[in-house]
Amino acid sequence: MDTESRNGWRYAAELAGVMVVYVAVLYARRPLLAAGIGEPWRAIVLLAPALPIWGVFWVIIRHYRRLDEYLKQELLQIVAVCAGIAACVTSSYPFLKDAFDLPSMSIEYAWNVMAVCWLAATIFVQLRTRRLPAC
Amino acid sequence: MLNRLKELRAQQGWTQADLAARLDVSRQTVIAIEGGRYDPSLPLAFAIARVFGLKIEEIFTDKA
Repeated sequence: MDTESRNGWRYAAELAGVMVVYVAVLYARRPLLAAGIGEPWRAIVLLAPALPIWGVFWVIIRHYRRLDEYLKQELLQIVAVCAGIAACVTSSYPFLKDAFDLPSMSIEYAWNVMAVCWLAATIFVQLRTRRLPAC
Repeated sequence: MLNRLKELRAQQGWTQADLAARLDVSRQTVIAIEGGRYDPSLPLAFAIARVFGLKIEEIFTDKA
């Protein structure tokens, strides 16, 4: 297996590992909270799912450091486009909400918005660099 | 910047994956340089020149 494939598998494995921890923490805290644990443990258990989210950031940084210069540049372009799309979407939503009487959205949707923006940015950048065939 | 990477690689009978392995970069990087879509950094340009036993200016030239 070449370095590129090895790095890809390592990234996928680390990301999957962090997501498994995230889901496990979400499920594991339910019985603990239902049992009515006292402070400060209740606050710690409530905060616990945030740790794997920081883990996702750590996995992406590790992946970035393993990339060569061209792929680093491409990933930075994806992050920049993703940030731009996410900023436009979140800034436009209040006006869309007023215009079409849409519901208010909680900050908990930030993860979903970022994921969709990341996907859109990846497709956009890879179409521009001709890694994906243009439609 | 123009380059002769594809021609030089063909002369050696190397695949893009072979060249990528010799340069310790991804095949995507070799494809992007050959396609003229990416200009390598100076360290990578030196590495390319070393792999082919040539000077940088014998591989890369200005478009003008």
